[in-house]
Amino acid sequence: MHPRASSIRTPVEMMNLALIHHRAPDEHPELRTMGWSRPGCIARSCHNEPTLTGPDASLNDLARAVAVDRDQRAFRTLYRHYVPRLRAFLARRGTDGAMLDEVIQEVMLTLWHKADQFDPKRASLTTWVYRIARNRHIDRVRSESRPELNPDDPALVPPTSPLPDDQVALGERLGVLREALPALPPEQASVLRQQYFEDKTMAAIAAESGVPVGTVKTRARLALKFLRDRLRRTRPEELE
Amino acid sequence: MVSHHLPTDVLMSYAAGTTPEAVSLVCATHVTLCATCRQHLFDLEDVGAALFDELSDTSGDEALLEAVMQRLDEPVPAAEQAMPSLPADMPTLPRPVLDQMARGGGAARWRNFTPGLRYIDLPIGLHGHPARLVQADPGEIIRRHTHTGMEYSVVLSGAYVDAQQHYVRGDVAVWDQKHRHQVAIDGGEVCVSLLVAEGPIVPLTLAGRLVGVFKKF
Repeated sequence: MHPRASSIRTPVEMMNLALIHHRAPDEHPELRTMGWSRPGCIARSCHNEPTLTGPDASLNDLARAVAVDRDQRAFRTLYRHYVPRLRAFLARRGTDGAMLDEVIQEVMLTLWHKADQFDPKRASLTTWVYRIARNRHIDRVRSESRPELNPDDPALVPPTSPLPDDQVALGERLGVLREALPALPPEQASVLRQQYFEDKTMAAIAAESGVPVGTVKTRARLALKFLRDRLRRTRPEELE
Repeated sequence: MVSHHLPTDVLMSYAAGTTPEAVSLVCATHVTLCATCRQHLFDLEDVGAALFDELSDTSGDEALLEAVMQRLDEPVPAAEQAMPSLPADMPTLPRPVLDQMARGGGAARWRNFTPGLRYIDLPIGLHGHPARLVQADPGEIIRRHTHTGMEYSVVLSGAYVDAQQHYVRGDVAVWDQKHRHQVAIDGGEVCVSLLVAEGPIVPLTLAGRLVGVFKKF
């Protein structure tokens, strides 16, 4: 064990540190006063913990602490992790002022109340929070309903064959995508970001960038093909 | 077995949250009935989450945190909606469609358009034109027509043939206004579809135009 780990009292504190050190050390200056100076310094020790195998696993553990123990400290950590992302996400969709704060509060309160509905076998916590934020924005800012897939729908048609076994494990998918994003050609990355962040249709993106809508769709498709190929361990080019 | 899927750009817009709500209903209905597009959607939502994860704006969050902490004990409004009362001949509907019918309230019943063609309007639409469930009898033919904009449909029961393609439960069709088509109900079963169009159909046959003088579908 790391010699300084003795100052950590609870599993949640341990998880908080592991999470913060993996993800965003500079956003959390209070940690330096607790003795941790740079990211990665406890990475090896936390990998030895059976429950902590990576940043997304740490987030899952915090969500479980919120769901099971109604742990407010874990919730505060999740708040500090997600709210900067939520604020930037909503601002890029054109939301500001009181409405932006209101949507942030609603997303975080949904996380608090529905943490028990989060199933780490189905999605990463970040994907779950992304969906909540996207849907609250549609509901509050666009004043529209959001027809959503219901995973418990009796009408849900199961896959006829299991997923191919070359799929990247669920807990690693976001990490793989985060690494792949900088490798996208700039014009493809730009279409992807406009589509996901700026609440713009393909036609609006085409009009603004002065290219035909077909070109925008092609760029989006190429970007997605590249990223989806990364979600398979055996990539098409490796088979050739 | 579903063989007609959502185009990638429509599914991507749905994952990004930029589709109009009636088109979102088409997407949610199709991914309920199609495991392939459902997995595709999960991939696209993970892409959205990875992009979301790169963002950061830390201005003024601590004051808001205390406001959120004060609200943790607020009671949560119950979200459960009563199940709508449906006609007895309705096929098993995916939850996204049922949810919309529940929002519509009251007992849903088929309204006649022509003797072999009935519909129920849903409380959402596209450009003011309602999303609807359409029920067509075996042998019914919706004569050659086009639309004033995009048209989306998902089969919920029975089957139809359009441009030599066979559509069954779960199959989705997305057409633009350039597509002129005739839809023939196939087999001995009543066909129910979810239909979302940006405008009324524009008949291209004499008989269709005559009907169109009296009613718009």
